[in-house]
Amino acid sequence: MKKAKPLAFCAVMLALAMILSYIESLIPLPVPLPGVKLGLANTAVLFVMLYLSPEYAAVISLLRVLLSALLFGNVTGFILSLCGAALSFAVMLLLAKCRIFSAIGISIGGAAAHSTAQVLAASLLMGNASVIYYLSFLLLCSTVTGAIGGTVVLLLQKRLGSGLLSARKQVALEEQQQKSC
Amino acid sequence: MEKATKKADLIIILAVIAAAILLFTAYTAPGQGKTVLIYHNGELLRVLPLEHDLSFTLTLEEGVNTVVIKNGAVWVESADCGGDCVRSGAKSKAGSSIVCLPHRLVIEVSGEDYDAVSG
Repeated sequence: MKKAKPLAFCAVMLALAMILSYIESLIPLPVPLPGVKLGLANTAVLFVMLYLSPEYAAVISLLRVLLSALLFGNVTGFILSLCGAALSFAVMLLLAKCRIFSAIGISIGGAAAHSTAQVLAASLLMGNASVIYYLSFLLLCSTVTGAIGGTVVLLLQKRLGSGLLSARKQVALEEQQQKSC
Repeated sequence: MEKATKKADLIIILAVIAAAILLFTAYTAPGQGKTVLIYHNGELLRVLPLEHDLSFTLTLEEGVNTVVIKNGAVWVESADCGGDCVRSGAKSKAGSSIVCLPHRLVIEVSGEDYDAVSG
């Protein structure tokens, strides 16, 4: 019945994701596409996906996109970041289900999917394929940001240890209760 | 507890880098650009030779961009879109482009001859 712990945990993670997308918006990329971002906020989403549940992660990802668009974005930026978040979520979930990749590999895959989706969405919006020219550069960046994000996830898991475990237990308990109802 | 890294991670890293290299070579192979193509909303607006120096202002419904062609390179000198297209700098290689997303403007450098494109 107690949902407070996972809820509080997710709130902290959403706040973290928001801060990361703000920091990200301060980093100027030599790419003339507003809204194309490195995907740092994926770190928080991946963390929740791996250690709490994918459902919570999906909600955090969606809320992050909505809130950061409201706070410091525009319409095109919103569409691009929604596409990026959706594809990177799908790819990260797929890679996580494979169970042969560590958080670092999953994070790099997610970051690469993030930039691919954004550039493809931008090229559709523009009706011009030449935007894809920037993808090679972004993909190289995403291996770096993905590796950093994955390392952060592993570090966070170590630091948060027991608190995380109890939040996770409650999610598992809650799922069991739903099934038995 | 999971290990810090797994061998399978290398597959992802290599795949992403390979994709990046592939895209890079696919888009910049032809070398020096010869023609400037300007698109607005996906429609070809203007075709200009890269060898002739030129400076002009494009007035679009979304805003204004001042484009300069000089010494075989093209760049956006100024724009009222926030400046991402100005920051992307001068382009001279075939396949490279400058994009101004807020104005739906694409300035593309083509490796084809001006006469062939303008027909």
